[in-house]
Amino acid sequence: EYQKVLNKGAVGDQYKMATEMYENQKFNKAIQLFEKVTPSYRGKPQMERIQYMIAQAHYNTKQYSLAAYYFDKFAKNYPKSSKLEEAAYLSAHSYYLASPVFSLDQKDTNEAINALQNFIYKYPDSKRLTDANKYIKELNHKLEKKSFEIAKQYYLTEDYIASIVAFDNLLADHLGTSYKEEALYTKFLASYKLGMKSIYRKKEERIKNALKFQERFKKNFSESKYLKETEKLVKELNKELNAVVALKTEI
Amino acid sequence: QEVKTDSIQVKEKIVVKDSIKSMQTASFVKEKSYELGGITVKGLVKFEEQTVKVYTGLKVGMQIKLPGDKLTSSIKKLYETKQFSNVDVYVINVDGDVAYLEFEVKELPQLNIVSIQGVKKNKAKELQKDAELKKGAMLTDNLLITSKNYFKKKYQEKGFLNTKVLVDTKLDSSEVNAVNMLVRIDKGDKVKIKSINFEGNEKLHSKRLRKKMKNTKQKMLGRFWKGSKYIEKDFEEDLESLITFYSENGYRDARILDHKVTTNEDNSLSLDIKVEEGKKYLFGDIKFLGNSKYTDAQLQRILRIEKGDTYNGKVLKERVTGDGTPDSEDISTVYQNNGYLFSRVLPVETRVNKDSIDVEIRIFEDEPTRIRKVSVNGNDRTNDHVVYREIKTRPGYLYSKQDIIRTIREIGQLGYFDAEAVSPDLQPNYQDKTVDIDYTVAEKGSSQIELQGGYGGGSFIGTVGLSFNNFSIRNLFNKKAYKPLPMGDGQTLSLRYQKSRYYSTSSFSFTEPWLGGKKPRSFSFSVYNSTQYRYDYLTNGVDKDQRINIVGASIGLGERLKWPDNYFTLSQSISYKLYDLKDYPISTFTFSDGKSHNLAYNISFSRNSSGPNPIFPRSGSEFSIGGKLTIPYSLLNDKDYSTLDDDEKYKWLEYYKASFKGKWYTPLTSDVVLMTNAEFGYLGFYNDELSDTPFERYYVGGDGMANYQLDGRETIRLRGYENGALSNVYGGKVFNKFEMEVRYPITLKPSASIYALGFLEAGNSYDGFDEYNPFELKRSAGLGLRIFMPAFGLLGIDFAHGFDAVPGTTEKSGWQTHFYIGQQF
Repeated sequence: EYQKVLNKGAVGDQYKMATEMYENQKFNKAIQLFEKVTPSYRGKPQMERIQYMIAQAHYNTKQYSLAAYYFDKFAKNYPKSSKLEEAAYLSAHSYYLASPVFSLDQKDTNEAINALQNFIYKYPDSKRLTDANKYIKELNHKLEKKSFEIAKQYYLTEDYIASIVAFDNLLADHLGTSYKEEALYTKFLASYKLGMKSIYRKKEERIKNALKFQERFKKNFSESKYLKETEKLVKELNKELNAVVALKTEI
Repeated sequence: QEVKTDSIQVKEKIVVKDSIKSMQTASFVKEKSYELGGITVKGLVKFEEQTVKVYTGLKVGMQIKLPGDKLTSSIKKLYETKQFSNVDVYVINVDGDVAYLEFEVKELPQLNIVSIQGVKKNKAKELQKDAELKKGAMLTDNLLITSKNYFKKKYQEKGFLNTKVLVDTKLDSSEVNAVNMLVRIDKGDKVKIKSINFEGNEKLHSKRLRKKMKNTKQKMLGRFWKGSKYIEKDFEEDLESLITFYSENGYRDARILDHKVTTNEDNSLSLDIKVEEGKKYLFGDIKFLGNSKYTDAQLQRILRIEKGDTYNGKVLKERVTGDGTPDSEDISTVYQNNGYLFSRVLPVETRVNKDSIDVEIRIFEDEPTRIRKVSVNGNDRTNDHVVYREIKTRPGYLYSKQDIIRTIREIGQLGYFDAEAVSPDLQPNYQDKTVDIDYTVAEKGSSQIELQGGYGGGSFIGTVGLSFNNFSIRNLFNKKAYKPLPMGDGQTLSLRYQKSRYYSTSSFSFTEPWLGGKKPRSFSFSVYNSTQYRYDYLTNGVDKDQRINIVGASIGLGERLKWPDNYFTLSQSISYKLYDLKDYPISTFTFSDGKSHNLAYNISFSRNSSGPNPIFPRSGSEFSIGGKLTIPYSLLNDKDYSTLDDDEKYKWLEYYKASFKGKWYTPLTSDVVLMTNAEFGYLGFYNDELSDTPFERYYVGGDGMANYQLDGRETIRLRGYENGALSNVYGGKVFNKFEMEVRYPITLKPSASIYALGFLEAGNSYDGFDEYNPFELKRSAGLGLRIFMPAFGLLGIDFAHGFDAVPGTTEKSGWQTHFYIGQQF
């Protein structure tokens, strides 16, 4: 019967059946029917309900990217709707759910952060505020992790120059990141290796840089579990530095 | 009802037709604020009144000035919906401070049936689609005019200069407010160019000038590629190229004085072009200014222009600012490749002497720019680390245009992204001399499925094959990663199983391109197993006691090298194969019971710079020199091989092979690519007593698809001949072949890449070096088509004509058809 209505039914029947399907949780079928009737109801009062149900159906079938889009569209088209706050929140939440693992493109993550921030700004008294704040924090942490892992990959593939700059980018872009300790530590390790393996001409400058980075690490994390190790490496750096300077004076 | 008359006359309807008119009215009538008491809408056919009210943006109860902004904007809003052809607003009633408005709208009709006359049915459909005349479109005046112009232009561009187009509309009585459109196209006769005449050209011959007009050609018998048609825009362009042509030859003052288009009696055109050539100039003094990074002598070497050369503005510009190709050799590119992103190089003519021109190359070097951030967008399936490790532009590095181009190639070569759509976005920051680079990529399908069922040799044959080219093995047991498969770590995994009544084969292979993630060192592993039973064609029975069983495995490591340059790879592998025969005679062996081992070491040294699209490379080359060898057992033990039985002799196979392959891709035009290929292979033996091995031989001829793996043979493609026809039944020991193939891409969309090709090739197989004669080749030529679809891999067909006779026959091979499935060349 569904196929018949979908393909040949009158618009009114399609709309009726779509609503029924939606209420019976048959969301995929409902979506197909809703899409069929949308052109006929454009500009009519039923459209508000239809758009909301389309968004909800996508949300319930875990098509979060689409759900986010439809909720967002609903909120824009019906600024007077009683479901406005809910739609705004669900749009943001859909982006949040659509946000993939850190190592993939973070377009949806950024969309989610924007949408959540707009929501918080618009509905400061909402009971959903705690959740929204929690999600923002989580998403920001994901972005930090992404930057951190990229910088760390440069370190692991022994591209120390790229690694140092990438860690600097991370620290500049995400003030107060929870990766700060790891980042400063790995950055120092990168600069240590860069300095020790460097050609003679650049060695002095690079070793001095490494020492500076360790100072900064120490100042920020005097209790760090890595501190002892860095101090050991500092000794090596100083020894190497003395040798370089000695060689320089000799020449 | 009592009516108060203020400054606004009630019932006499103030017409606020549109924004302009309301502005005019505003200057006459003092505006006054009212409360909006109600809105009514008149003239509705299809729309609901409520909908139009929402469109106006006005709400009952709001304060509104009459006339005023709000009213104007609501009229504008209604027009913007593109649903109405006319909107009028009237004040129908004023009750104290309360005003009532009436909107009178005229709904635009909707397009119902479009019929196009005067052209063929298919063409009409195409035109309708291109002009976007869809059913249900709102019929605006604009639509009528643009479609009319569109049709006209379309035919004029094809040379039908006298095309007439008539667009007519008629109300459709069967639907509410709908119209039918009738388009009549009379394209008339094609207008050809009879002659192109030049006046005033003394130094350069008219023939050469005509040749330079790429789009506008005289009518000529046998001109197939480009018709002789006149399109004004193209003609203007051609006039420009004439001037360019003159300036390339030292006539930098040349100009077009006049041009005239006349229609002849026979409806053809004559073009008359009057030129003034001016003087021929030479290069005078060439000076460099502002260069501190490079010396004058270094720059001069790039410029390659000497004082006294014929003045050529185009070459000068190309050598200074580049010719638009990635490997352009010019001063600007040298700066751009070495960090000077903000550098500018300008050639300036400083003095025009009697017959020479002095040139200054002004260089603004600025500071070297370093890369700050590098990011990738659009990798929805492929993990960061797989993409980032291929990127040559990294944080902290000096900016280099060359590195960006190389990165585009490397990302394209991965095969996970649409190679034609990798685009870098540069955000320079002049303040601190840094640049951020963002690469946008688009994922494409990279998994292939093979499912086959068929009936052959009295039995059902079924095949299941899966190959995943962007697999993630670490997520094999992570349920969440199945979307629908664990993907994104760049590993290759393939499984294949084939089964019929009398044989079965199964294979598995896995490749990790960056073993350990630290260095570009690839690791690959594969296993292979096949069993074949004796099949009796007479009784149609299978004897499971008679069989051959082959088990094989190989393990390999490949490393990308930094020397001689970073396009090189060194790969090594060890492969092992066990042949276990039980009462199963095959031609290769002279024994039917026993075991034979094939343990070999493979090494190949290769360089691949082709790209950027791996499916359709446009430039670069591929080379490889390889060897495959076994341990020379017979030289190490004291057995007398001349008296040994065959099953002892071939217990451990021994041989060595050498191979060379070279491929070049040369772009002939922006689309057409020439592929040149040369291949050579040699199979040798260590011990005279043992002589040649019956295994690992070359079979030259045919499509080159390896489908019969029993004796480790290598099938070499040579189109125009039947499979293996150029080698004898035991296979050749030496082969070489040469190919030239011209390719033209029909489409390179990620959903399907299609290209056409034409080729000439020649090759042969020989029984040993004493017979080897690289000039005794079998030749062929033909045409073909390749289709690459991500889900199916490659499909292809070639029609080839073999010009020579295969050994043992006297007639030439003639036409052959070759099919390709799943394999790439």
